[in-house]
Amino acid sequence: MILFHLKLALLSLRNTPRVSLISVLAIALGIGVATSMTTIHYVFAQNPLPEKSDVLFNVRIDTWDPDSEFFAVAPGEPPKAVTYQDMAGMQESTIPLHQTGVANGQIYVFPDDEINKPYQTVAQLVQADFFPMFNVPFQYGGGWTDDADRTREAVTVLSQAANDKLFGGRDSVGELIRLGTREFTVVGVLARYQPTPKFYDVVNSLAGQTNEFFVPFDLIREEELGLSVTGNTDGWGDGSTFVGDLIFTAAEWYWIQFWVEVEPDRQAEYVAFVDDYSRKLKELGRYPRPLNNRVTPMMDWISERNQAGETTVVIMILSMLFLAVCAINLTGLLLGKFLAKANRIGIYRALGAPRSSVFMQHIIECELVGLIGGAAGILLAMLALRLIVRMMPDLSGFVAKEIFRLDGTMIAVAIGLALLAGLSAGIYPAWRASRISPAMQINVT
Amino acid sequence: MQGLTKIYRTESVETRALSDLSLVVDEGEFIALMGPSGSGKSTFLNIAGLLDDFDSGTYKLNDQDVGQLNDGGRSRIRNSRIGFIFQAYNLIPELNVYDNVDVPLRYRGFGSGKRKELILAALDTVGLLKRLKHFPAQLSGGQQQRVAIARALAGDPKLILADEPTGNLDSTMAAQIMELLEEINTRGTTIVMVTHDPDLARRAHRRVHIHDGRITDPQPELTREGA
Repeated sequence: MILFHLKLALLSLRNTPRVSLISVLAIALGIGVATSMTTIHYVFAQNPLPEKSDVLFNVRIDTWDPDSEFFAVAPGEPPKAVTYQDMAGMQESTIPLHQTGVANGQIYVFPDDEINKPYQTVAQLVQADFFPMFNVPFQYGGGWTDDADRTREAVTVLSQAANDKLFGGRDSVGELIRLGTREFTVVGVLARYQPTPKFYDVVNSLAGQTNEFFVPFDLIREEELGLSVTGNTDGWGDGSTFVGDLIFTAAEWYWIQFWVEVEPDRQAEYVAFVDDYSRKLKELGRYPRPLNNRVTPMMDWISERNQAGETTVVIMILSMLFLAVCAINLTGLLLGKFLAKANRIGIYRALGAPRSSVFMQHIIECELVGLIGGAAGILLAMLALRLIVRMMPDLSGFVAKEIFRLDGTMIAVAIGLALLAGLSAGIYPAWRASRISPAMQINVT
Repeated sequence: MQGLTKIYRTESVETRALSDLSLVVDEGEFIALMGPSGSGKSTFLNIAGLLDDFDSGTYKLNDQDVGQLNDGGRSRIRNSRIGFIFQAYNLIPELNVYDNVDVPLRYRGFGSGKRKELILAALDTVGLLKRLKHFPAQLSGGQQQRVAIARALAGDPKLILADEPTGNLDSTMAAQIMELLEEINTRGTTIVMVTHDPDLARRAHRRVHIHDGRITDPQPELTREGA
């Protein structure tokens, strides 16, 4: 019977091409807008590491200037990064399974080939734990050791893109590449890795491309290397500490995102450790502010830093309202169409169609409009996202093209929304159609 | 039917379309219902065909009181026991001959094999087996009415209600349609035909006249059970 209804619905759509086209366009427009906006929200709101997000924490302590509030966060919040000395201090703890600082360092790359000219890049400064704690996937090789961190060994992990560019995609583990003044040994090549949002560096780049080079964090202290801190940094205090190696060991300079992986049963213990650590600093006189530490779960940290997320929620709600307006308009169109074919409905009723059957037939027609409109809407959403990507300012490393695209989930959401819109738009017209009195409608002349 | 009353009401006007109408039709009868415009013929057919309800009275179809049935029950009876033939044919223009005849059988829930058998038998009866794939617009008026008759016949109804079935046809076509209805009637199907044409009415077993919503002919056996 469903097939019969489907056939009649298709015939009805074909029979009224203009109304059908306008109906499909109404849904397509609504779905196109809603899907593209939802995609943007979905990209920013998704959990990039669901299997570990409940054991990963961003750590901050408030050693900021006692005479002023830190400016780039909500009132009462500590600075959004930590100093090198505090990272090092907190890394004394053995509670975390893994821990790493994350920062950015600018450096020149000197490829050993004819094609690639030397260029400047931003290397990701991380520690050995970065790779296992964030489940970073490797195509070749792996990360480096804690020893390499300690001895500031010139080793690097390449992104897939960098390996493609510099080594033609081959297994380059063991190969040398000159960064700054040193030859770095490639120890690993990442598989495709583009977490979105880029959670481990959300302060600098919400949707940035994975950096080409990952290098041991402490190489930043090798002055002759030509590696210099870049990205979001803030500081206060004694200007004489902002020189040479003092900038790492003494300056109140906030530039590191500090991450720990702590098992659930030790999380309270770790929070107590951080408080103890800052209390000790207080006793040493370095810490004039009241205790104000944060051990923030990964997803909370992302949403705290992700101002785009709030905006996209508003845009998404507005786009849903737009879809609702389209559906309401469609209700009017369908009602007019169905009532105009009252005579036809009367014939079906005379031939034995119960009201429920007439209702079902017209709901299927509405869902067909929803489905066709949904498919057209998905195409519109793809076009819209392409347009949005084109209109995006060319931010450094921003990978709008890669992240603003419809995946299977979003296509399923679009189809679901389209069916819902078709259903909600069609229920009343279909009900009215089913209530048409056959006696009054059958054409006798 | 006994004492049927049907009143159409608007805010200001009350129109009594049927007024204490009583009529007994025996199984296998061919009745011609005649009356002037506005006499209640269409209302009678609508109620007889369970397309409309009535305000008071009793309507029994094959001993079943159909006045109290809900929409599903009325639809089932309409679908399985009643066939309609309209003056304007009322075929579905987008469906071909085969599919038009198929419509009531679909609502009946028959499988495709049985439907095919019934459709072909019905089209054979009306002589249109060679026009299966034709659409209504490709057929003459007479052929269209024969498709409508096949559609009414396909489900093997006990009662056929025909509303001016030859009203849109020329005399030759009309004669053919009448012959077809007579043939169907000889197979045992009860036919109630509304007509203005006295010549056609004379070919029925019985002529019944309706005026101001009442049957004006004597009804000899009103108390007996029947349709």
